[in-house]
Amino acid sequence: MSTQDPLLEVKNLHKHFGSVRALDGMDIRVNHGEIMSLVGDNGAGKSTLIKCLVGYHQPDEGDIYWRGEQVDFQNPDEALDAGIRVVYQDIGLADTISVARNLFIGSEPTRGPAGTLDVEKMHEEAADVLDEIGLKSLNDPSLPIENLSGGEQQSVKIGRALYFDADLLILDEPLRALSVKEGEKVLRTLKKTREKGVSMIYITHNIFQAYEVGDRFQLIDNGENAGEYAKDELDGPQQLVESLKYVAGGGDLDEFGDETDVAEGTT
Amino acid sequence: MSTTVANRRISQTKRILGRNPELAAVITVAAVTALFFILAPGTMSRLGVWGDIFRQTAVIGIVAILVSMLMIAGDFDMTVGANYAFSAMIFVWVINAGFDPILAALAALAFGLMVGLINGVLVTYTGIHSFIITLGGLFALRGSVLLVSGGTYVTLNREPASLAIFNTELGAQFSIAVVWMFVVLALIGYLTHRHPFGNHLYAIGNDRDTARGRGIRVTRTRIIGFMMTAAAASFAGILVAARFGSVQASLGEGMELVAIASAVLGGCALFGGEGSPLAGFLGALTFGVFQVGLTAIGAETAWFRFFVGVILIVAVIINRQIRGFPIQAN
Repeated sequence: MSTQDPLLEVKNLHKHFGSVRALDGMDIRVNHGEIMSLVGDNGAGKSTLIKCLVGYHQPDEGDIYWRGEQVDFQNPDEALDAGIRVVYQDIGLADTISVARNLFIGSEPTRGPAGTLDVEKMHEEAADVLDEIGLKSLNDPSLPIENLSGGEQQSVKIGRALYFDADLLILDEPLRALSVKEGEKVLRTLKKTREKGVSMIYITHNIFQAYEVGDRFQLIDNGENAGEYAKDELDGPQQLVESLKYVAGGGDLDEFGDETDVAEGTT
Repeated sequence: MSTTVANRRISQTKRILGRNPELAAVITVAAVTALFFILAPGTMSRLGVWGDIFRQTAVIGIVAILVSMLMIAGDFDMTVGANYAFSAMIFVWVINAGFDPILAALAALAFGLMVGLINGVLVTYTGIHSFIITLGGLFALRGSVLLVSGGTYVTLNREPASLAIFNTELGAQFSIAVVWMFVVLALIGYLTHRHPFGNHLYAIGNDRDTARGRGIRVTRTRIIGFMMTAAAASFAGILVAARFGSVQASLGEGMELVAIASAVLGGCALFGGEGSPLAGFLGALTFGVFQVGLTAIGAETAWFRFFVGVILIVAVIINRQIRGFPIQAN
């Protein structure tokens, strides 16, 4: 494998649910160290694509290449072992326990024959993670998750994925239900994460958020490719809006328009 | 800006309580104790009265500590009272049959573990809420107790020396049951706060899907929780049988509710994810102080139940008010 190869390449993916064509020949590509933003309206096939990618669903047709080699994940655990982690917006944290304990749920560090929790290590590592994701100000891994703001919680999930050596993070609408200010915190975390060379797929229906962090944009509509743009080819997010409006037949422009406020806040 | 400052201020209280969720329960115990010190200073300052309080607390405390642990994972065990009675009877029968009390205790504990296994398997495999499954278990088990005992009582016909493990006076009304309770508290406290098992319980109580997604064996962990809780009820039954030498068919009726009340008084949430074994102990201790205190001031015993209800409601309201809901900084 050379570093010229994309980290991930998906070719001609098809997935039908009964008579519904959720994916109809979809291609995506993620290069090393980039944030690829997958943009499409609700129901365009974004979630199905990700579920097929990590083995939650088996695609009907199509090939997936991970680090240049063809893969066929049978379940999300296999994808996880390969270094692909999905960060969901609404699940993934236990609200009432501390940041440090959340970081290690299910893979707690222990010491001694009784398997005692290595609380000291948990706190030290958690402090480092908070630092890395730009939440140093929080400075307290013993704080229960519920005391963190929504954006901080998203950032903790991202930090946890990084801690466990993810090579590719898939973020499914990470800013949904967050205020502008909170969204900014998460976007900052994503930018810091990219600096470490971690690649990401940023899934959103919000073009302006996509434009804010994305290096490359792939549009999806009706389970098909609806265009691909590198950021330096674009003059601004408006061009993406136009493209998507064109493929979506213009009917959904109002919905995208609603997000303009958010965009103004984030830029 | 002002909202941010306000949020910060509430957040500080929440920070303290977040890290010390038992603080409210400690304050409750202290307040109730102070009340009886004022009402009956002569009685409450005697060591023997405290021996009595701890003795009262020990048996229900052991059960409440485990019920609290189970509630962290979001589960209930309504069978503890009936299981307690049945196990106490097994303990008596096995000793009466000529076996050593240690063997008798193992037999009773084995019964308890079996009850817990059945509870756990039924709850996890049917997906029906544990409150309902174990409520059914409560009736079935209490019915069994009445059937096998003929509705009366069983009495120890001999007192082997090793019975002392479960029943020894330590002076000033303190008994060995108090020591056992602290052993249980230390052990369960360790498992809950200093072992991955506890972290898994909290994760399960918060959100089972998240726990499963992080690789926790949710079903197995919950079944173990049920088995440990049932074993604690059996152990409490052993202690009470060793102390009184006789077990009534009605022993432990309503214990399941007192244990849950203790857990909730100590700060356990009804829907899981919050609380600690210490909470169960502190809740049980509050009730113990009340029970002995009311006797000390010469009140009728019926007042005890009345005040259990009142304290429970007041404590939960105050706890809610202080802890509030998670604050989202907007």
